[in-house]
Amino acid sequence: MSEEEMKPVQRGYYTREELEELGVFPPREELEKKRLCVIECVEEIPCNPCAAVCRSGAIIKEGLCKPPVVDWKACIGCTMCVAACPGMAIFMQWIEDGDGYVTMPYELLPEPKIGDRVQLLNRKGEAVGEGMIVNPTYQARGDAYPRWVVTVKMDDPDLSYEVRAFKILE
Amino acid sequence: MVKKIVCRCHDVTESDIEAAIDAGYDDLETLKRITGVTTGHCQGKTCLPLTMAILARKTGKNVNVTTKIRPPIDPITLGSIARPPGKRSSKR
Amino acid sequence: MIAIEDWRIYEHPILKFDRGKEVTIYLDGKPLKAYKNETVAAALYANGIREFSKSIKYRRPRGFFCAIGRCSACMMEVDGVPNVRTCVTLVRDGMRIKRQRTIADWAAPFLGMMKLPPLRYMKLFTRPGFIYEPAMKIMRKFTGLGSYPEKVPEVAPSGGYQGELSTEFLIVGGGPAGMSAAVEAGQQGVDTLIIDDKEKLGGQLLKQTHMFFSDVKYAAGKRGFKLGEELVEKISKLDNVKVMTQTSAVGYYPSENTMLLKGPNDTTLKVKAKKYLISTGAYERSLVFENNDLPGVYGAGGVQTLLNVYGVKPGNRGILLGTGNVALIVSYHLLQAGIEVAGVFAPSFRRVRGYFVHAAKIKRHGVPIVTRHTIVKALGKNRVEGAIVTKLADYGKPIPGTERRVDCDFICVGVGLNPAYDLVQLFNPKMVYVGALGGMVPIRDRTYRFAENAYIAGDCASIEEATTAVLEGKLVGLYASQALGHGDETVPEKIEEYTRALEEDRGSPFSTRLREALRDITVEKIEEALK
Repeated sequence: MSEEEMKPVQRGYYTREELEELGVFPPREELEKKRLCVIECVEEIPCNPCAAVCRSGAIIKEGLCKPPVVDWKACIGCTMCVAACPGMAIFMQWIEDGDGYVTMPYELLPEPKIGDRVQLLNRKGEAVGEGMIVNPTYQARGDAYPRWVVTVKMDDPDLSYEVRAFKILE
Repeated sequence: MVKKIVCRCHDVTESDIEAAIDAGYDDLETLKRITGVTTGHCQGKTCLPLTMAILARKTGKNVNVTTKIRPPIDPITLGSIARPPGKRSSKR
Repeated sequence: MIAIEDWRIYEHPILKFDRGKEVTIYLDGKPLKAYKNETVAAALYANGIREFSKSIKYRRPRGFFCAIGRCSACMMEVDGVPNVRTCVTLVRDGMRIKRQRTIADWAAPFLGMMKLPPLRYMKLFTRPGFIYEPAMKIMRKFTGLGSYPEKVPEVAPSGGYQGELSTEFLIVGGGPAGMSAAVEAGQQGVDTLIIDDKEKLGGQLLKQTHMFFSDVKYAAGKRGFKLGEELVEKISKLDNVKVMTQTSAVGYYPSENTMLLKGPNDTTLKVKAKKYLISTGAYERSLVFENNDLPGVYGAGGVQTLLNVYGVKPGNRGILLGTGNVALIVSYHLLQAGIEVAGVFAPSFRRVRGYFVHAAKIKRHGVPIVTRHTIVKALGKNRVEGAIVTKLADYGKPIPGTERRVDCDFICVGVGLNPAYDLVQLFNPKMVYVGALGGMVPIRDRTYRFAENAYIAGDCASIEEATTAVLEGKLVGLYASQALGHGDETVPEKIEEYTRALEEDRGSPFSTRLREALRDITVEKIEEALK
């Protein structure tokens, strides 16, 4: 059975089309106006840090085990949920001046610095281009030990639907 | 010669256990005594579940059985349970 | 012969390793660099030593498997004492470590080639009867594990039997369940003693660097080791809770209601308690495949301990067996330490067994997730150099011709855990095999009692997560307080709150079979079931 025929829970990733069908992405026009939260968590598992940390009540969970749902009108793009998600499954996405932006959680070495050039990786771990680390990029503190929240800018806005990890280029 | 080790403490392989079961030692207590599984240093921590699985697979019987556990469950030295040198025996 | 290598991790994205002062230890006479807070096994490993001992019969090379003192593969002679489990023994400046060698080591390749008729050799030398004794004398010279030096070492002046202690509540096992029980019982005024076999309390929490799931009210969003630190802090504030580390329970004698404890420096202690909590966690499952005992085949927990507690890399490129949460999380720990993961293999057919988000976060870094495969054998003469995997048509049925080699220098076996059944069984409970809970577990009642005076909580009761262990521990602490006559008026509502939280936590489809299994083995009153 080829990877395409396998189910997402067998191969470890969803394709962009499958996620679009699940309603994970906000409408394109909204993404061109402000930073919005994209939650790629679709299973029923007991977990609620995202809803607990959301400042504007945009993340709704009907019960501890129900997957989260986002009210994009209320989302203010603060990126707290990106830092709080234990499964590293929440991202911020937006398009500005023809460039794509993705904010991701990051817990590897080397330490990310604004201005670093990075290799962009998609959900399968394939390299899909190059980008640069920009603001907002910060070290999250609190009950969780420090974890980085990193924003990467890319020339192609469509890539912001694909890029979910990066590798810092020396 | 490649071997599939089930009991690390006594070097008992999967084929040893299967041969013992075929020869008639098909319950845990007798299997344990002829092969030595679960009687080593680790007292079955790594091999008892594997042995139970092999037994279940070969005999078709229920795995709902365990072997008698006796203290100590971890090795201790004789010196540790002896009265310390110089101390008189204290009878309560 | 011993190369100058250093496998220690000096830079980690999350952890800072407090190794302590530098010391020198000697392996077979050669000096090696070590640090005060390392165990012997971790220090030797950091210096590139992979083979610690030879197996008892075929003299096969062995490294460690579990790294927490359960499997006995790592035994060496330390300062004249044979058969010391080096993975739980801390180093000392000037320590002399020797590999336990016998004459049979020269014959090892020969012994490995022998195919003895399986039952015949177990009865060798037993007939005629008189050859048994002399034959055994000769055999012992050839094989076995370790030997005392000519002069028997004296018992340390502080060793030996230390006497008897009494307490109200004895908690065996200082992991999330045990510590939570200690906090709740301690807050209700119960005289509590909590013991753990490691140098500090925390159990598996000490090596969990990932953030926990479940409800933010209890443990979600916290990293495991931070949760451990918080619980230790709470316990240290309670005067009526005493802590003994490097102490494990080795026996329980129901007729005298006495628990025998083994302490550090070769000591033992007897404890009589009114109520006991057994929260000793679980044992790593092993897997049967060719050469599964080669140095380089480690349990997932062992890799986590080496990596996150001692900061030593297990290798440069490894594979994982199993696609449950443990295997997926350990793959991520390896990536964080800069180690390549060549693949995660399992015979799962319909899905990865763990949460999708754990699989997604390693997939996006390029780790191949290979389902419908299993391992055939581990390659390498004295240590792992590769593995052969094969594709399966159905469980256990390999498709011929699909075998392929994967280059790696360690194999991490993450195929599940078995609840620790041994101490539990000494209380004469009713044990049942329940697959959905992980293995042999005792029947218990609604207050978590599996014997008249003993409670069970955590992985010991059913293999789940740290968050359920914390909640179960809290409930046991409260139930025990009530049974001992302590407990104020807030106890019943706390019990209700935690019970509801546990039910919610177990509300996902992942826990369906677990919920049913737990319902099947929980009775009203344990005394009825034990009659």
